[in-house]
Formats: sequence, structure tokens, C-alpha cells
Amino acid sequence: MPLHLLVPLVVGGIFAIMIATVLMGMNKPRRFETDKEAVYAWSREYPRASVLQTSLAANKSAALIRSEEGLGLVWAIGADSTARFLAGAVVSQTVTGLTLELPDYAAPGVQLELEPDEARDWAAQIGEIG
Amino acid sequence: MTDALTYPDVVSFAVPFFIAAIFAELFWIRMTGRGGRYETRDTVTSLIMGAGNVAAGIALGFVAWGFFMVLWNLTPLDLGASIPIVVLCFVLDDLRYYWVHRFGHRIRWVWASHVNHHSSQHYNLSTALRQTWTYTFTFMMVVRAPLILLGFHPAMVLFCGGLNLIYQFWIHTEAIGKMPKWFEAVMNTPSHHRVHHGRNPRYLDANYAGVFIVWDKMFGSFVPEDPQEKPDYGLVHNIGTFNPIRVAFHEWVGIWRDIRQPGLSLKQRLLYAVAPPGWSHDGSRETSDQIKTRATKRG
Ligand SMILES: [Zn+2]
Ligand SMILES: [Zn+2]
Repeated sequence: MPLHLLVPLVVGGIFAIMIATVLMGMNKPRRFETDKEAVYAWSREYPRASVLQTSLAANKSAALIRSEEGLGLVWAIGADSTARFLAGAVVSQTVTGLTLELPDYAAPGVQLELEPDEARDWAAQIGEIG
Repeated sequence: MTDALTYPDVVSFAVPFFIAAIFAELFWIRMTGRGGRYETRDTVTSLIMGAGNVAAGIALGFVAWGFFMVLWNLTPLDLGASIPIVVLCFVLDDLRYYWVHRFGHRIRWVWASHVNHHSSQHYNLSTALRQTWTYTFTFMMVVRAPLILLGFHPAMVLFCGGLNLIYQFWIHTEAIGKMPKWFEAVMNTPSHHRVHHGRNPRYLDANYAGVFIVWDKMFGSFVPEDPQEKPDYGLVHNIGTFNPIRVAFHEWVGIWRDIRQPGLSLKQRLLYAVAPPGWSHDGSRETSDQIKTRATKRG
């Protein structure tokens, strides 16, 4: 197929599918309704790191996990979740919460929306190990 | 020698069909509430990966093509282009696909290219299009060398490879449960390929087939889908980005970082590139074999 047909077809197709998913409400982010749900999502990534303590963010988009192997974060990524240990993370305050930079090319950072108290508490905990 | 043999570029002609089928699956999910999940950013990333794969083919395709033409000029054999030869080429190229795909999961250098196909936590028709940008750098075109040397024209081999890729599109769906028994026995199906995309320990490194599932049965890598164990889609360690550049290159970056660690022997550096994914010099990570062993021990 000539490029002058293929390129608009591909660009238009991607755009149309994107709009369709938004109109169908398929852009809703994942939320962890309970601590248990957050721990389950954590264990999906790190089944060997047993959890000592969980702090679920007020907006349920992430949870700080204290495990036997160190401090970690599980967070919503689109409709799904992922998790990382926070050794080497760089934390900074923002108006709406915290920004974490992670030393991982495949998970380079997380924007966390947190209540002011929560942000202070989390920053202190993460700062300890950064 | 039939140097001027040409075939249509089937993959680009299939693009309108891909788009229409994704719409059909979206509406099916919306109407029935069954048959899988879509998420906007995940879908857009998958589609951009697909577009980038075609672009990479246009930009870098000359490397494989040049290699194939060198072989073609070397070989005294020419099987021609009759229908039975094309069919035979399709079957043998599917065997080639099986092994390239198996290497893609067992050799980190090749996995660095293939990983992105598994980097979505979704399993729908858009996932089929989440394809590599870096296949050329795996050098897996060498696995096609025997076909060319046997006298299958490079253009015919690439045509069969295109058809193979198109076949694999429709099996990336949860909207279809099981196909008829005879079909499940011979062909790769949505059920078999869901297993391949599962990160459940017992589903790791299974069902490498492209078109014919018989290769997995022959070479001992077949695992049927267990109705009691739904596949959990994605990677053992899921990525935390929708950025297509990061999706395309993250494992290459990982290899580069690993082999540059201070204090490693030359052999350890090499193993970070060619050992199975998850290998580490200090045992701090797990390979799929170790994950399977741990899971069976736990019962
Ligand atoms: Zn695969
Ligand atoms: Zn697939």
C-alpha cells in the first residue's frame, strides 16, 4: 500500500480508536478499594517480599508498602497496577502531592496525588531510604 | 533464478481490517460486558508500537533483505513459485517462527526485542499490534537462512511471514472461548495464545506457536488453558510507563546497565546479554524456571 494512503489510515485509525475507548468510559484509572487489594497488587509483582505494613493513599491510587525486604510502592498505571522497591528513589514535593523519580528505565517515575499530611509522612518515609 | 518475484505487502493491506476488527471487539465488549478489557492509554501505546514496527520494517528491512539476497545468489537451488511450494514455504516458515519465538523468550538479547509484545496487562486485538521496533538487532533473520538456501525465494518467504503475522492477529482476544476440537488440536487459537501471554508460573514459556500449535506439542512446550486458572496478562515485572520509546527500548537499556556493572567477569557480562531473562550473577532475580520451581514447591 502506498505511504500516502497508509499513513493517514494508521493515524486516523489510532485516533478514532482512542476516541471510541474514551467515549465508552475505558479511560478510568485503577483504584485500590482496600488495603488488601493493594497488597494483592503488590504481591503480583513481588510474591517473595512479605508485607509488614500498608499505607493506602486517601485517593486509593497508590499504597506505600513496608516489606521485609524494604520500602516499596504499588500504584495504578492506567486500569492496571505495577510496583517497585523505592531504594534509590528521589522524592520531591508538588502542589498536589509528590513526584517520585525511580532508577528504572521501564518505570521512570510516579506522580502521586496525596493529602498534605499524607505527602509529608510519605516523603519522610521515602526520604529515609532514598 | 526468479529474482523478480513479487508478492503484495499483505500486512499493510490488512491495516483497514485490523482497525475494523478492533472496533468490532470494542462494541462487542461494550454490548455484552464480556470478552476482555480495553484501556485508552494502553491501547494507544499498543497501536503506536504497531505503526512503529511497520516504520522500522521500512527503515531497516533492507538489512534482512540484503542478507537473504546474498544467500539466494549463493544457492544453486530454486524451488519455483507454484502453489504447493508456497504452501510448503508457509508451513516451514511457521516452524521457523516457532524457534525464533522460543529463542525470543529464552535468550535475553532476543527477549529485549520481543518483551514489548508482552508488556501490556491487557489481552485484546490491540495487543496483537504491540510489536517490536528492534527485531533487526536480534539477528534472528539467520534462522530463515536454511529456507532461502533450500530454494525458497526471499520474497515468498517474507510473504509467508506476513500471512503468519496476520493469522496471529485474531487470536489476541478473550471474546472467543474455544474453537472446535479439531481446530484446537492443530491450529494456534485464542485459548492457546492466552496461555502464552499469561504471567502465571505454570503458563510461562508455553505455546510459542505462530499458526500451527503442533510445533509446541512436538517440542514439549504445549500447555492447555486451564478453565480454573485464568491467565494473568503481562510481564513478571510489569512496566510503569506508556511511553512507546521506553516500551520499545527498556530491556536493551536493562542489558546495557547490567553488563556495565563494576566487578563482573567477562563471562558474567556476556551472560547478562544471552542467558535466559531473569538471570543474574548474584541470584538476586529469578528466571522463569526458578519461578516455576518456587510455585510448584509452594503447591
Ligand atoms: Zn511471546
Ligand atoms: Zn501475542
